[in-house]
Amino acid sequence: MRTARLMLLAVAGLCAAALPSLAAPFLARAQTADPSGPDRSVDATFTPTSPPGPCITVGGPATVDFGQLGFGSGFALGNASTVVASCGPPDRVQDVLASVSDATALGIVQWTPFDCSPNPSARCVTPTNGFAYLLGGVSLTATPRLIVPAGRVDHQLRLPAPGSVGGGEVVRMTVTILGVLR
Amino acid sequence: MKGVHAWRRVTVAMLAIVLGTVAFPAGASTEGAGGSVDGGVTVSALVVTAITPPATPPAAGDLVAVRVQVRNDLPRSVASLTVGIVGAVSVGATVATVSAGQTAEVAVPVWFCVAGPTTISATASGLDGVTPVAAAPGQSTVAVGAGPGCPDDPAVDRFPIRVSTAADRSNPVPLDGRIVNGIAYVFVDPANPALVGTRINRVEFRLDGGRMTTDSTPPFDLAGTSGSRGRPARGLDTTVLADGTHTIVFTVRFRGGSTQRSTATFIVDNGALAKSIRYSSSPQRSASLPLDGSSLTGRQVYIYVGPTDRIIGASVRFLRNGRVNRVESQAPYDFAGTARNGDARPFTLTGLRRGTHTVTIEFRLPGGVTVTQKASFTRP
Repeated sequence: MRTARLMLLAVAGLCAAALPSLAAPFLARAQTADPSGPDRSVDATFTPTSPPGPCITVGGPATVDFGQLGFGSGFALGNASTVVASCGPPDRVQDVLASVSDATALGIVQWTPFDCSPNPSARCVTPTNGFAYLLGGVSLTATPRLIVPAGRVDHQLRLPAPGSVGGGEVVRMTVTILGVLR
Repeated sequence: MKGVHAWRRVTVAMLAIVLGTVAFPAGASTEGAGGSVDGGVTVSALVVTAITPPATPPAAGDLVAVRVQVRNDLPRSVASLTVGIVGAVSVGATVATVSAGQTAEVAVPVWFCVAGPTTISATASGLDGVTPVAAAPGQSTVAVGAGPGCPDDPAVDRFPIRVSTAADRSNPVPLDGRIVNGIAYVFVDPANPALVGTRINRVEFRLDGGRMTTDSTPPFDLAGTSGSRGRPARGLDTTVLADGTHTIVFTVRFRGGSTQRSTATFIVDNGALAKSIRYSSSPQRSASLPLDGSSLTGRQVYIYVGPTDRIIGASVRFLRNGRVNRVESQAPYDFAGTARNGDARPFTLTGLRRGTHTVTIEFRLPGGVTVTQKASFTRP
């Protein structure tokens, strides 16, 4: 019995060290169970469980490639989609927001996001050194914006107007997706 | 021992729950309160901005000039800009240099051989220093009307006449559809065994329907063959021809009495592509500088096309900010016109709004070929 108890505590400790927040409820429950009888005692430590936080999974390739585009060209579809799924608490409503960073080449900012809403269509004309980025049809800016809460979303990019900087360069930007509980 | 088994089962179940919670779903890159995806794009150094076929639809077998506009989006010049057409028979055209942000319009000679809608792609490439750069191809569809079409065997029938830039006929290319300048060495391809050697009696050439020339000794040269050692070709001085389209009809007379008559069409360009828009503070156009990228202050300036030698048969249209400002048909080509004594007339800067202004020149050559150049200046 002592062997079993030691094994249990060792495993629980291992789990707690690796994943404290996830393992905490189980650890607390294990330490209160004392099978040795009323004449023995075990110091019990409770770790209060924090309220469930927002959780989303961002699936698909970590990089989306738009190939080679020229200034002034229309929206181009990226070579991959992203799947956004909720893994948050089922009893809470979770919003999914997204933003896009400035576009850089060799660490130097080249373009800033241009907001195409409320008309994120081919009629959206980007300015000099301003690019448009649509995620699931929603025009992204530096400020997080509500997107479709779950499902597969496409990436679309429209380069800045002719006369912009960055010609001949490989330019990169980062899309950040956030889950927020209401 | 029964209790030990029970605890072991509890332990395994607990591990499964914990590990199951942190395992990502298949294909997921991130789980948690948020995640990110990196986007990447390669920005073209060159962009094909327009493909303009002739206003009149060509017939099958016609050689026409297709104008292709290529913009340089690099912050520096691109050298050896070469524009080509895929989807029809073409030999391409080369422009020396395109400045940063400039658009070059290049007339590419194209044979359309088959009637019906023909989709052509324009390609462009050049050198950024020593690094090759290229544009993503642009496409256009041309409605080709009915016509005689192209010869069945172009290697024998259409392309035996070639041109070289050297008297020894080295590095020859088909003359048909080629843009030529300076001294051109035109000859019937001596490497074609179907036409040369013992089978041919002589070859007769007729340029633009003019006087006929004949050569009876291979290699068969349009302007004759020098008697010097190595029998170098005599050259055709294209500077005495008007810039634009020209035609050579050549007849191969075989020893058996039969003949084969073919036509080669080519474009002479001895000036338009080599000229640029310049400005000077002097009416004599002295100490001039390229207008493109300049900042113009003061009351007036003299804008003109340099060098000032004429382009035979050409008219030159000046446009400012897209509107026709002046048409000049005689050299020197001045933006504000030329005085009787040959001096340039001044272009008044006073009152010009601050900012960037664009001057465009269109060289309209005989044969329907137009070459366009642009220059932008700022008024601080």
